[in-house]
Amino acid sequence: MKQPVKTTRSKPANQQTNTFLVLALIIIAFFTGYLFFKVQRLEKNMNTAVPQQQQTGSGQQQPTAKVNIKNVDLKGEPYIGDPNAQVVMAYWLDYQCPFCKKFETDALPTLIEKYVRTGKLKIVFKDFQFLGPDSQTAGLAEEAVWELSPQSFEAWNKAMYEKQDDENAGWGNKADIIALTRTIPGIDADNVSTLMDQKKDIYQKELDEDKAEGGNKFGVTGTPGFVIGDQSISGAQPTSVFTQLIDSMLQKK
Amino acid sequence: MSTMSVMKLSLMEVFKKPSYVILSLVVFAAVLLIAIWLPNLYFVSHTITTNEMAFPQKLNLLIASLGALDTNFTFESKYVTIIASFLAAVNVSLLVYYFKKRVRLQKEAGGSIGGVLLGFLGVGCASCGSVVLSSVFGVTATAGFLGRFPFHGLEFAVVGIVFILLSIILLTKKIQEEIYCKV
Repeated sequence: MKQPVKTTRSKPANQQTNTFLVLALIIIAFFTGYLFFKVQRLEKNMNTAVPQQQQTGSGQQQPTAKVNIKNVDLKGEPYIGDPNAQVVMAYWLDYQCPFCKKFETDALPTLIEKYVRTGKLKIVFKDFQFLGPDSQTAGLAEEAVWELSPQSFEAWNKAMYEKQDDENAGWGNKADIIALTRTIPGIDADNVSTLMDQKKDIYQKELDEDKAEGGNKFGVTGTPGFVIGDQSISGAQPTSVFTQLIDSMLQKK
Repeated sequence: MSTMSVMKLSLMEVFKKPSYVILSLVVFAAVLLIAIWLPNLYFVSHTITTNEMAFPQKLNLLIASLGALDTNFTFESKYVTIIASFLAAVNVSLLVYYFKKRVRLQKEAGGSIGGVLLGFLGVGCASCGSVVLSSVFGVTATAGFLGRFPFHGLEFAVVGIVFILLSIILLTKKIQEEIYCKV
Protein backbone atom coordinates (compact mmCIF):
# COMPACT_ATOMS: atom_id res chain seq x y z
CA MET A 1 0.00 0.00 0.00
CA LYS A 2 1.34 3.35 -0.90
CA GLN A 3 2.05 5.65 1.94
CA PRO A 4 1.70 9.37 1.49
CA VAL A 5 5.07 11.06 1.37
CA LYS A 6 5.21 13.52 4.18
CA THR A 7 7.52 16.46 4.24
CA THR A 8 6.65 16.46 7.89
CA ARG A 9 6.30 19.75 9.66
CA SER A 10 3.80 19.71 12.47
CA LYS A 11 3.20 23.27 13.58
CA PRO A 12 0.49 24.19 16.01
CA ALA A 13 1.61 27.81 15.69
CA ASN A 14 1.01 27.65 11.97
CA GLN A 15 -2.43 26.18 12.51
CA GLN A 16 -3.21 29.04 14.86
CA THR A 17 -2.08 31.52 12.23
CA ASN A 18 -4.23 29.76 9.64
CA THR A 19 -7.24 29.95 11.93
CA PHE A 20 -6.57 33.62 12.49
CA LEU A 21 -6.24 34.29 8.76
CA VAL A 22 -9.44 32.41 7.94
CA LEU A 23 -11.29 34.30 10.67
CA ALA A 24 -9.89 37.56 9.31
CA LEU A 25 -11.15 36.61 5.85
CA ILE A 26 -14.64 35.92 7.19
CA ILE A 27 -14.72 39.26 9.06
CA ILE A 28 -13.52 41.14 6.00
CA ALA A 29 -16.10 39.31 3.87
CA PHE A 30 -18.84 40.57 6.19
CA PHE A 31 -17.36 44.07 6.07
CA THR A 32 -17.27 43.98 2.27
CA GLY A 33 -20.84 42.75 2.15
CA TYR A 34 -21.91 45.58 4.45
CA LEU A 35 -20.15 48.18 2.30
CA PHE A 36 -21.64 46.74 -0.87
CA PHE A 37 -25.12 46.73 0.64
CA LYS A 38 -24.68 50.31 1.81
CA VAL A 39 -23.54 51.54 -1.60
CA GLN A 40 -26.45 49.72 -3.28
CA ARG A 41 -28.91 51.33 -0.85
CA LEU A 42 -27.44 54.79 -1.37
CA GLU A 43 -27.64 54.40 -5.12
CA LYS A 44 -31.22 53.18 -4.83
CA ASN A 45 -32.12 56.20 -2.71
CA MET A 46 -30.46 58.51 -5.21
CA ASN A 47 -32.49 57.00 -8.03
CA THR A 48 -35.68 57.33 -6.01
CA ALA A 49 -34.99 60.97 -5.24
CA VAL A 50 -34.47 61.81 -8.89
CA PRO A 51 -36.99 59.83 -10.92
CA GLN A 52 -36.04 58.56 -14.37
CA GLN A 53 -32.41 58.93 -13.53
CA GLN A 54 -29.95 56.20 -14.04
CA GLN A 55 -27.34 54.84 -11.74
CA THR A 56 -24.57 57.30 -11.23
CA GLY A 57 -21.07 57.02 -10.06
CA SER A 58 -20.17 53.44 -10.92
CA GLY A 59 -18.87 54.32 -14.34
CA GLN A 60 -19.62 50.83 -15.62
CA GLN A 61 -22.79 51.26 -17.63
CA GLN A 62 -22.08 51.31 -21.32
CA PRO A 63 -24.19 52.61 -24.22
CA THR A 64 -26.88 50.05 -25.04
CA ALA A 65 -27.15 50.95 -28.72
CA LYS A 66 -24.89 52.43 -31.37
CA VAL A 67 -23.85 55.91 -30.40
CA ASN A 68 -24.15 58.80 -32.82
CA ILE A 69 -23.87 62.51 -32.15
CA LYS A 70 -26.80 63.02 -34.55
CA ASN A 71 -29.05 61.40 -31.96
CA VAL A 72 -28.04 63.80 -29.18
CA ASP A 73 -30.56 66.56 -28.53
CA LEU A 74 -28.48 69.69 -29.17
CA LYS A 75 -31.35 72.16 -29.50
CA GLY A 76 -31.06 75.12 -27.14
CA GLU A 77 -27.99 73.71 -25.39
CA PRO A 78 -25.01 75.93 -24.51
CA TYR A 79 -22.15 75.51 -26.95
CA ILE A 80 -18.88 77.04 -28.08
CA GLY A 81 -17.59 77.11 -31.64
CA ASP A 82 -19.01 77.39 -35.13
CA PRO A 83 -22.63 76.19 -35.13
CA ASN A 84 -21.91 74.42 -38.43
CA ALA A 85 -18.55 72.94 -37.45
CA GLN A 86 -17.48 69.68 -39.11
CA VAL A 87 -17.21 67.80 -35.83
CA VAL A 88 -19.57 68.09 -32.88
CA MET A 89 -18.77 66.91 -29.37
CA ALA A 90 -21.42 66.61 -26.65
CA TYR A 91 -19.95 66.98 -23.16
CA TRP A 92 -21.90 65.98 -20.03
CA LEU A 93 -20.59 67.82 -17.01
CA ASP A 94 -21.05 68.58 -13.33
CA TYR A 95 -19.66 71.87 -12.03
CA GLN A 96 -18.40 70.18 -8.87
CA CYS A 97 -16.77 67.22 -10.58
CA PRO A 98 -12.96 67.25 -10.15
CA PHE A 99 -12.48 65.15 -13.29
CA CYS A 100 -14.47 67.70 -15.29
CA LYS A 101 -12.09 70.31 -13.91
CA LYS A 102 -9.20 68.12 -15.01
CA PHE A 103 -10.67 67.99 -18.53
CA GLU A 104 -11.39 71.74 -18.52
CA THR A 105 -7.85 72.64 -17.48
CA ASP A 106 -5.85 69.95 -19.33
CA ALA A 107 -7.61 69.04 -22.57
CA LEU A 108 -10.20 71.74 -23.27
CA PRO A 109 -7.77 74.65 -23.82
CA THR A 110 -5.98 72.63 -26.52
CA LEU A 111 -9.27 71.65 -28.15
CA ILE A 112 -10.43 75.27 -28.14
CA GLU A 113 -7.15 76.54 -29.56
CA LYS A 114 -6.72 73.87 -32.19
CA TYR A 115 -10.28 73.10 -33.30
CA VAL A 116 -12.90 75.47 -31.88
CA ARG A 117 -11.13 78.71 -32.88
CA THR A 118 -10.49 77.31 -36.35
CA GLY A 119 -14.16 76.46 -36.84
CA LYS A 120 -13.65 72.70 -36.96
CA LEU A 121 -15.25 71.73 -33.67
CA LYS A 122 -18.42 72.65 -31.83
CA ILE A 123 -18.58 71.65 -28.16
CA VAL A 124 -22.07 71.33 -26.71
CA PHE A 125 -22.41 71.48 -22.92
CA LYS A 126 -24.91 68.97 -21.54
CA ASP A 127 -25.82 68.88 -17.86
CA PHE A 128 -25.23 65.95 -15.59
CA GLN A 129 -25.45 67.77 -12.26
CA PHE A 130 -25.51 64.91 -9.75
CA LEU A 131 -23.10 65.85 -6.98
CA GLY A 132 -25.52 67.73 -4.75
CA PRO A 133 -27.16 71.12 -4.17
CA ASP A 134 -24.21 73.23 -5.35
CA SER A 135 -24.19 71.34 -8.64
CA GLN A 136 -27.91 71.97 -9.15
CA THR A 137 -27.47 75.69 -8.39
CA ALA A 138 -24.59 75.90 -10.83
CA GLY A 139 -26.71 74.16 -13.45
CA LEU A 140 -29.53 76.68 -13.02
CA ALA A 141 -27.05 79.55 -13.30
CA GLU A 142 -25.58 77.99 -16.44
CA GLU A 143 -29.01 77.93 -18.08
CA ALA A 144 -29.62 81.58 -17.18
CA VAL A 145 -26.18 82.73 -18.39
CA TRP A 146 -26.68 80.94 -21.69
CA GLU A 147 -30.12 82.48 -22.15
CA LEU A 148 -28.94 86.02 -21.35
CA SER A 149 -25.36 86.19 -22.60
CA PRO A 150 -24.30 83.26 -24.79
CA GLN A 151 -21.25 85.20 -26.00
CA SER A 152 -19.89 85.21 -22.43
CA PHE A 153 -20.69 81.59 -21.66
CA GLU A 154 -17.17 80.29 -22.39
CA ALA A 155 -15.57 82.77 -19.98
CA TRP A 156 -18.22 82.11 -17.33
CA ASN A 157 -17.78 78.34 -17.62
CA LYS A 158 -14.01 78.67 -17.29
CA ALA A 159 -14.35 80.90 -14.24
CA MET A 160 -16.73 78.39 -12.61
CA TYR A 161 -14.18 75.59 -12.88
CA GLU A 162 -11.34 77.80 -11.70
CA LYS A 163 -13.38 78.52 -8.59
CA GLN A 164 -14.36 74.89 -7.94
CA ASP A 165 -13.81 73.58 -4.41
CA ASP A 166 -14.68 70.26 -2.75
CA GLU A 167 -18.17 68.83 -3.19
CA ASN A 168 -20.79 70.97 -1.37
CA ALA A 169 -18.06 72.35 0.86
CA GLY A 170 -18.11 76.11 1.15
CA TRP A 171 -18.12 77.92 -2.17
CA GLY A 172 -20.96 77.29 -4.63
CA ASN A 173 -24.30 78.59 -3.36
CA LYS A 174 -26.36 81.06 -5.38
CA ALA A 175 -24.79 84.15 -3.80
CA ASP A 176 -21.29 82.86 -4.54
CA ILE A 177 -22.12 82.11 -8.16
CA ILE A 178 -23.81 85.46 -8.72
CA ALA A 179 -20.79 87.22 -7.20
CA LEU A 180 -18.52 85.35 -9.58
CA THR A 181 -20.85 86.10 -12.51
CA ARG A 182 -20.47 89.84 -11.79
CA THR A 183 -16.77 89.54 -12.58
CA ILE A 184 -17.41 88.21 -16.09
CA PRO A 185 -17.76 90.99 -18.69
CA GLY A 186 -20.96 91.01 -20.73
CA ILE A 187 -23.23 89.30 -18.23
CA ASP A 188 -25.91 91.07 -16.19
CA ALA A 189 -25.58 89.15 -12.93
CA ASP A 190 -28.79 90.60 -11.45
CA ASN A 191 -30.76 89.33 -14.44
CA VAL A 192 -29.11 85.93 -14.08
CA SER A 193 -30.22 85.85 -10.45
CA THR A 194 -33.76 86.87 -11.35
CA LEU A 195 -34.01 84.26 -14.12
CA MET A 196 -32.69 81.54 -11.79
CA ASP A 197 -35.71 82.19 -9.55
CA GLN A 198 -38.34 82.90 -12.18
CA LYS A 199 -37.52 79.98 -14.45
CA LYS A 200 -36.29 77.56 -11.84
CA ASP A 201 -38.74 74.81 -12.76
CA ILE A 202 -38.10 75.13 -16.49
CA TYR A 203 -34.33 75.10 -16.01
CA GLN A 204 -34.51 72.18 -13.61
CA LYS A 205 -36.51 70.21 -16.17
CA GLU A 206 -33.82 70.91 -18.77
CA LEU A 207 -31.09 69.76 -16.37
CA ASP A 208 -33.00 66.56 -15.62
CA GLU A 209 -33.67 65.88 -19.31
CA ASP A 210 -29.99 66.28 -20.18
CA LYS A 211 -29.02 63.89 -17.44
CA ALA A 212 -31.65 61.33 -18.33
CA GLU A 213 -30.69 61.51 -22.02
CA GLY A 214 -27.01 60.94 -21.23
CA GLY A 215 -27.73 58.00 -18.95
CA ASN A 216 -30.50 56.30 -20.89
CA LYS A 217 -29.23 56.70 -24.45
CA PHE A 218 -25.49 57.16 -24.28
CA GLY A 219 -24.31 55.24 -21.23
CA VAL A 220 -23.22 58.35 -19.33
CA THR A 221 -23.12 57.30 -15.68
CA GLY A 222 -20.61 59.79 -14.37
CA THR A 223 -18.84 62.93 -15.42
CA PRO A 224 -17.28 63.96 -17.63
CA GLY A 225 -18.95 61.97 -20.41
CA PHE A 226 -18.59 62.59 -24.13
CA VAL A 227 -20.09 61.68 -27.45
CA ILE A 228 -17.97 62.58 -30.49
CA GLY A 229 -19.26 61.35 -33.82
CA ASP A 230 -20.00 57.68 -33.23
CA GLN A 231 -17.76 57.35 -30.19
CA SER A 232 -18.63 57.46 -26.51
CA ILE A 233 -15.95 58.36 -23.98
CA SER A 234 -16.15 58.26 -20.22
CA GLY A 235 -13.92 60.19 -17.86
CA ALA A 236 -11.12 62.71 -18.16
CA GLN A 237 -9.06 61.18 -20.94
CA PRO A 238 -5.66 62.48 -22.05
CA THR A 239 -5.74 65.33 -24.56
CA SER A 240 -4.26 63.11 -27.27
CA VAL A 241 -7.30 60.80 -27.15
CA PHE A 242 -9.54 63.74 -28.11
CA THR A 243 -7.17 65.17 -30.71
CA GLN A 244 -6.64 61.80 -32.40
CA LEU A 245 -10.37 61.13 -32.52
CA ILE A 246 -11.19 64.59 -33.87
CA ASP A 247 -8.38 64.38 -36.43
CA SER A 248 -9.64 61.04 -37.68
CA MET A 249 -13.15 62.47 -38.02
CA LEU A 250 -11.91 65.53 -39.85
CA GLN A 251 -10.00 63.28 -42.26
CA LYS A 252 -13.18 61.36 -42.95
CA LYS A 253 -15.15 64.42 -43.97
CA MET B 1 9.48 29.69 11.05
CA SER B 2 7.87 33.11 10.99
CA THR B 3 5.23 34.07 8.41
CA MET B 4 7.66 36.49 6.80
CA SER B 5 10.32 33.81 6.40
CA VAL B 6 7.79 31.38 4.94
CA MET B 7 6.61 34.04 2.49
CA LYS B 8 10.16 34.86 1.49
CA LEU B 9 10.99 31.18 0.92
CA SER B 10 7.89 30.55 -1.17
CA LEU B 11 8.26 33.70 -3.24
CA MET B 12 11.89 32.83 -3.97
CA GLU B 13 10.91 29.26 -4.85
CA VAL B 14 8.24 30.44 -7.29
CA PHE B 15 9.91 33.44 -8.85
CA LYS B 16 13.29 31.87 -9.45
CA LYS B 17 11.52 30.32 -12.44
CA PRO B 18 11.32 32.85 -15.32
CA SER B 19 7.98 31.46 -16.48
CA TYR B 20 6.30 32.67 -13.27
CA VAL B 21 7.90 36.09 -13.59
CA ILE B 22 6.48 36.30 -17.11
CA LEU B 23 3.08 35.06 -15.92
CA SER B 24 3.04 37.75 -13.23
CA LEU B 25 3.95 40.47 -15.70
CA VAL B 26 1.19 39.35 -18.07
CA VAL B 27 -1.41 39.23 -15.27
CA PHE B 28 -0.24 42.60 -13.93
CA ALA B 29 -0.59 44.21 -17.37
CA ALA B 30 -3.97 42.56 -17.95
CA VAL B 31 -5.43 43.67 -14.60
CA LEU B 32 -4.11 47.19 -15.08
CA LEU B 33 -5.57 47.39 -18.59
CA ILE B 34 -8.93 46.22 -17.31
CA ALA B 35 -8.83 48.83 -14.53
CA ILE B 36 -8.11 51.61 -17.00
CA TRP B 37 -10.48 50.48 -19.73
CA LEU B 38 -13.41 49.17 -17.68
CA PRO B 39 -15.30 52.51 -17.67
CA ASN B 40 -14.70 52.79 -21.41
CA LEU B 41 -15.55 49.39 -22.82
CA TYR B 42 -17.67 50.92 -25.58
CA PHE B 43 -14.84 53.23 -26.58
CA VAL B 44 -12.32 50.36 -26.63
CA SER B 45 -14.53 47.90 -28.51
CA HIS B 46 -15.64 50.55 -31.00
CA THR B 47 -12.05 51.62 -31.62
CA ILE B 48 -11.05 48.01 -32.27
CA THR B 49 -13.97 47.18 -34.56
CA THR B 50 -14.51 50.42 -36.49
CA ASN B 51 -13.72 50.51 -40.18
CA GLU B 52 -13.21 54.27 -40.10
CA MET B 53 -9.66 54.08 -38.73
CA ALA B 54 -6.48 52.43 -39.96
CA PHE B 55 -4.73 49.93 -37.68
CA PRO B 56 -1.91 52.32 -36.66
CA GLN B 57 -4.52 54.97 -35.78
CA LYS B 58 -6.41 52.48 -33.65
CA LEU B 59 -3.24 51.38 -31.90
CA ASN B 60 -2.15 54.97 -31.21
CA LEU B 61 -5.59 55.83 -29.85
CA LEU B 62 -5.69 52.83 -27.51
CA ILE B 63 -2.16 53.53 -26.30
CA ALA B 64 -3.05 57.18 -25.72
CA SER B 65 -6.08 56.13 -23.67
CA LEU B 66 -3.76 54.39 -21.17
CA GLY B 67 -2.81 57.88 -20.05
CA ALA B 68 -6.17 57.87 -18.27
CA LEU B 69 -4.30 56.31 -15.36
CA ASP B 70 -2.94 59.82 -14.83
CA THR B 71 -5.93 61.91 -15.85
CA ASN B 72 -8.91 59.86 -14.75
CA PHE B 73 -7.71 58.50 -11.40
CA THR B 74 -7.20 60.34 -8.16
CA PHE B 75 -3.73 60.22 -6.63
CA GLU B 76 -4.83 57.57 -4.13
CA SER B 77 -6.81 55.44 -6.55
CA LYS B 78 -3.95 55.40 -9.04
CA TYR B 79 -1.49 53.91 -6.56
CA VAL B 80 -4.06 51.58 -5.01
CA THR B 81 -4.83 50.27 -8.50
CA ILE B 82 -1.16 49.67 -9.29
CA ILE B 83 -0.55 47.95 -5.94
CA ALA B 84 -3.66 45.76 -6.25
CA SER B 85 -2.73 44.80 -9.83
CA PHE B 86 0.76 43.83 -8.69
CA LEU B 87 -0.53 41.77 -5.77
CA ALA B 88 -3.14 40.08 -7.98
CA ALA B 89 -0.34 39.10 -10.37
CA VAL B 90 1.71 37.60 -7.55
CA ASN B 91 -1.39 35.84 -6.22
CA VAL B 92 -2.16 34.20 -9.56
CA SER B 93 1.42 33.02 -10.01
CA LEU B 94 1.48 31.50 -6.53
CA LEU B 95 -1.83 29.77 -7.14
CA VAL B 96 -0.67 28.29 -10.45
CA TYR B 97 2.60 27.16 -8.87
CA TYR B 98 0.84 25.59 -5.91
CA PHE B 99 -1.67 23.82 -8.14
CA LYS B 100 1.05 22.41 -10.41
CA LYS B 101 3.18 21.36 -7.46
CA ARG B 102 0.30 19.59 -5.83
CA VAL B 103 -0.73 17.80 -9.02
CA ARG B 104 2.84 16.62 -9.53
CA LEU B 105 3.32 15.37 -5.99
CA GLN B 106 -0.05 13.69 -5.86
CA LYS B 107 0.66 11.93 -9.17
CA GLU B 108 3.95 10.69 -7.76
CA ALA B 109 2.09 9.39 -4.74
CA GLY B 110 -0.49 7.64 -6.96
CA GLY B 111 -3.36 10.07 -6.50
CA SER B 112 -5.72 11.05 -9.29
CA ILE B 113 -6.17 14.44 -10.88
CA GLY B 114 -9.84 14.28 -9.89
CA GLY B 115 -8.81 13.83 -6.28
CA VAL B 116 -6.55 16.83 -6.52
CA LEU B 117 -9.35 18.96 -7.95
CA LEU B 118 -11.76 17.79 -5.27
CA GLY B 119 -9.12 18.55 -2.67
CA PHE B 120 -8.76 21.98 -4.15
CA LEU B 121 -12.45 22.59 -3.80
CA GLY B 122 -12.20 21.68 -0.17
CA VAL B 123 -14.27 18.53 -0.30
CA GLY B 124 -11.54 16.19 0.87
CA CYS B 125 -9.75 18.47 3.23
CA ALA B 126 -11.04 21.62 4.74
CA SER B 127 -7.58 22.94 5.41
CA CYS B 128 -6.40 22.57 1.80
CA GLY B 129 -9.69 23.79 0.44
CA SER B 130 -9.52 26.99 2.41
CA VAL B 131 -6.42 27.99 0.51
CA VAL B 132 -8.16 27.83 -2.84
CA LEU B 133 -11.20 29.54 -1.48
CA SER B 134 -9.07 32.34 -0.14
CA SER B 135 -7.35 32.66 -3.51
CA VAL B 136 -10.72 32.93 -5.19
CA PHE B 137 -11.61 35.57 -2.60
CA GLY B 138 -8.52 37.44 -3.71
CA VAL B 139 -9.53 37.40 -7.36
CA THR B 140 -13.13 38.32 -6.54
CA ALA B 141 -11.96 41.18 -4.40
CA THR B 142 -9.80 42.39 -7.27
CA ALA B 143 -12.77 42.33 -9.61
CA GLY B 144 -14.89 44.09 -7.02
CA PHE B 145 -12.46 46.92 -6.59
CA LEU B 146 -11.99 47.29 -10.33
CA GLY B 147 -15.72 47.66 -10.78
CA ARG B 148 -15.79 50.59 -8.41
CA PHE B 149 -12.96 52.57 -9.90
CA PRO B 150 -12.23 55.30 -10.95
CA PHE B 151 -15.27 56.78 -9.19
CA HIS B 152 -16.20 56.10 -5.58
CA GLY B 153 -15.30 53.17 -3.37
CA LEU B 154 -11.72 53.44 -2.27
CA GLU B 155 -12.83 51.35 0.72
CA PHE B 156 -13.41 48.40 -1.58
CA ALA B 157 -9.95 48.79 -3.02
CA VAL B 158 -8.35 48.71 0.41
CA VAL B 159 -10.43 45.69 1.43
CA GLY B 160 -9.50 44.09 -1.89
CA ILE B 161 -5.82 44.59 -1.20
CA VAL B 162 -6.19 43.08 2.28
CA PHE B 163 -7.96 40.07 0.74
CA ILE B 164 -5.23 39.54 -1.81
CA LEU B 165 -2.54 39.90 0.83
CA LEU B 166 -4.24 37.32 3.04
CA SER B 167 -4.56 35.05 0.04
CA ILE B 168 -0.86 35.44 -0.72
CA ILE B 169 0.08 34.69 2.90
CA LEU B 170 -2.05 31.53 2.94
CA LEU B 171 -0.68 30.36 -0.41
CA THR B 172 2.95 30.92 0.55
CA LYS B 173 2.35 28.95 3.75
CA LYS B 174 0.70 26.11 1.84
CA ILE B 175 3.54 25.98 -0.67
CA GLN B 176 5.97 25.32 2.18
CA GLU B 177 3.73 22.90 4.04
CA GLU B 178 3.18 19.21 3.56
CA ILE B 179 0.72 18.31 0.84
CA TYR B 180 -1.25 15.68 2.73
CA CYS B 181 -3.55 16.26 5.62
CA LYS B 182 -2.50 14.35 8.67
CA VAL B 183 -5.06 11.89 10.01
